[in-house]
Amino acid sequence: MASSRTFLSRSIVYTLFAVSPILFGLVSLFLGAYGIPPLKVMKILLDSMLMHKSANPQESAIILDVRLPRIMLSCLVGMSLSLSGSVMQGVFRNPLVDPYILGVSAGAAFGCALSTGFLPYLPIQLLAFIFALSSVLLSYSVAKAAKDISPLALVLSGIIVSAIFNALVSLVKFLVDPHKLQSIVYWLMGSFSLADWKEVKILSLSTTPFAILLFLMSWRLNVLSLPEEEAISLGINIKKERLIFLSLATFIVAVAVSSSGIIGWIGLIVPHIVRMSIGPNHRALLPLSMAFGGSFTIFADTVARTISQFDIPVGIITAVLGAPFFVYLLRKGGAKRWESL
Amino acid sequence: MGKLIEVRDLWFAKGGSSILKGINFEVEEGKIYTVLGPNGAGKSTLFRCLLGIWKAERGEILLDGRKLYNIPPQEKARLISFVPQEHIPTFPFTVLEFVAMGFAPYLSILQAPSKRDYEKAEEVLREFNLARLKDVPYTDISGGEGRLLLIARALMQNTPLLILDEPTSHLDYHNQTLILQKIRELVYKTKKTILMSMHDPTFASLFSDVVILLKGGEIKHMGTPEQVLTEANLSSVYEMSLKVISVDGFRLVYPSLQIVEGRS
Repeated sequence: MASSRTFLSRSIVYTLFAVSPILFGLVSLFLGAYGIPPLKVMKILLDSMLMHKSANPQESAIILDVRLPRIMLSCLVGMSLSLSGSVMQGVFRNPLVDPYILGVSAGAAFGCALSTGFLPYLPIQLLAFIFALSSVLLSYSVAKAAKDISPLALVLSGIIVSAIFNALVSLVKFLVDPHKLQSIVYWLMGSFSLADWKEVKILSLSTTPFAILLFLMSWRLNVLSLPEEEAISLGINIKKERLIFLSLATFIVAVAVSSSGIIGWIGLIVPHIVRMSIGPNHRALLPLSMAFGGSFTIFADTVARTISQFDIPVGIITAVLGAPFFVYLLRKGGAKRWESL
Repeated sequence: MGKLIEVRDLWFAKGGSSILKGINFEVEEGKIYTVLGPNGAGKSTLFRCLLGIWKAERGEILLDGRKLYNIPPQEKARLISFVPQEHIPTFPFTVLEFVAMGFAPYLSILQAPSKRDYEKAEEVLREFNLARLKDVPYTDISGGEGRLLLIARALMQNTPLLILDEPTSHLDYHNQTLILQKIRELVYKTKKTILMSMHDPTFASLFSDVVILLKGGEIKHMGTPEQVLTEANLSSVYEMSLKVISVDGFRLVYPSLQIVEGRS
C-alpha cells in the first residue's frame, strides 16, 4: 500500500515536470506588451495549425513570429543548460557545479566581444561557439599538462582559463567604442529578444542527437558519480567516460550560450531542484531536469519581457530568482558537497 | 586448486618512499585470506595495486593467470570486486539503485539494468535483510547496513574474488561478527575467494584460512592462523607484548597488561 502510494505520487511528480514546459509555454504565449486575449491567441494558434488564413495578420505575426519562437528558444536554451548542468554535476560528483565551470561562458563572452568589436563580418554566434569550445578544450589541456585530470584539477584549470578569457573580454571592452561596448554588455547578460525560427531550428537540430546520446548513457552516469575507486572497481574507464560525458555536455551548453548569451543560474539550480524532488537517479534526472529547465526559463523570460516596458535581459531575472535559492541550499549544508571533489 | 592471484616481487612507492617492498604471494580459490598489520603497513596500498587502481612500479600481478594491466577494465570487474574501507556518498541513490550498480561490468555504456536485473538485486537485498530499505536513500541507513550494502553490491558483480578493505572498521561488535559470518557463509555457499584486511587478530583467527602478517610493506609471515598467530610473531609485528591462548583450535589474542605497581 505504502509503496503503491509512493509510486503514484512519484508518477504525479514526473508527469508534472514533464508537461510543465507546455503549460508554461502556453501561459507565456498569452502574455506580452501587446495585449491579445487568450481566446484569440488560441484561435490564431489553431488557425495556423490548420493552415487557415489569419483574420488579423498583425496579431498572428506577434503570436507566431515573435512570441512563439522566443518561447521555443528560451525553452530550448533552458533545456540545454539544465541537461548539461545535471551531467556536469554527475561527472564532478558535486551538485554545486554549473555548466560554465570549465570556462564555456568566458570563452563565449570573448567570442562575442571579438565579433562585435573587431570582426563584425563573422557572426557572434559562430565566434562565441568556437571560443566556448576552445576554452573547455584549453581547461582540459591545462589539467592534462599538469598530469591530473581529476575533477578538482579540472575545476581549477576551468577557473584559470575563465580568468584569462574574462581578462581578454575586459581588454576588448576597454578598446572598443561605447556603442559597441553597449551591445557587448547587453549580450553578456543574456537575452532572447532576438529570437527567430532560424535560431530555434539550429538549436534544436544541433543539440537533439547529443541529448539523446546522453539519455541513453544516463544510467552509466550513476556509476560514474560514485567515488572514483569504486567506479574503477565496477569496471568503468573513468578517464575515457568522463571525457565523453563532458564533451557532449560542453557541446550542448556551447550551442545554447552562443545563441542567447550568458544566462546564469539555470544550469545550477534546475538540476538541484529536480534532484531534491525525484532523487539523484540520472535516468529520470536528465529528462526531467531538461523539462523543468525549459519551463523555468520560459517563466524567467516571460517575467523579463512583461514586468516593465523594457525588455530586461533574462540573465538578470535568473540571477534574482537563483541567488536566494542558492543561499537556501548553502544553509541546508550544500557547502559540504565540495569535500567530495 | 586454481590460483586466482599471483603476486611476484611487487614494489610500490608514493611520494618518494616505498610502501610495498617486494611482495610475493598467491591466492588460491575458495579460501579466506586476511591481511593483518599495523597502520601504514601497506594493506590498502596492496589492495589498490591488486585492483589496478594504482599501478605498481615494479613486479608482476597475475589475475586468473593473466597479466593484470592487460585485462580491460570491464573484464577485470568481472573477476575482482571491491568493498572499500570508507564510502563517502556523493548522491543519495536508493538502496536498490545502489546495489544494482553492481551490474555495471556486464553493461555497455548505453545500457541500464533490466527488470530481471533489478529483481536479482532485490533478491540479494533480501538475503542481506535489506529488502525493506530498498526505496530508502542509502545515505539514510545505519553504518552496519551500509557495509552490508557495499558487500551486496560487490556480490552483484558476481566475481570469483572479493577484496574487502577492513570490512569491520567503524562497526560495533555485533555488526563486526555479523559481517564476518556473512563473508564466511559466502565462501562456503558460493566458493568465492576473499581477500580482506582487519585489525583484530582474534577475529582473523576465527574467520580466515590464511593469515598474512604485513609490516613496513613486507610480508613477515603467511600461513594458517595456527602457524602465524603466535605470541612471538604478533609481538614483533605490533611492537608490543601480546599474549595468545588457544581455544577450540582458535587463537585468542590480547595485550599483556603492564600493571602499575603501588597504585592505590
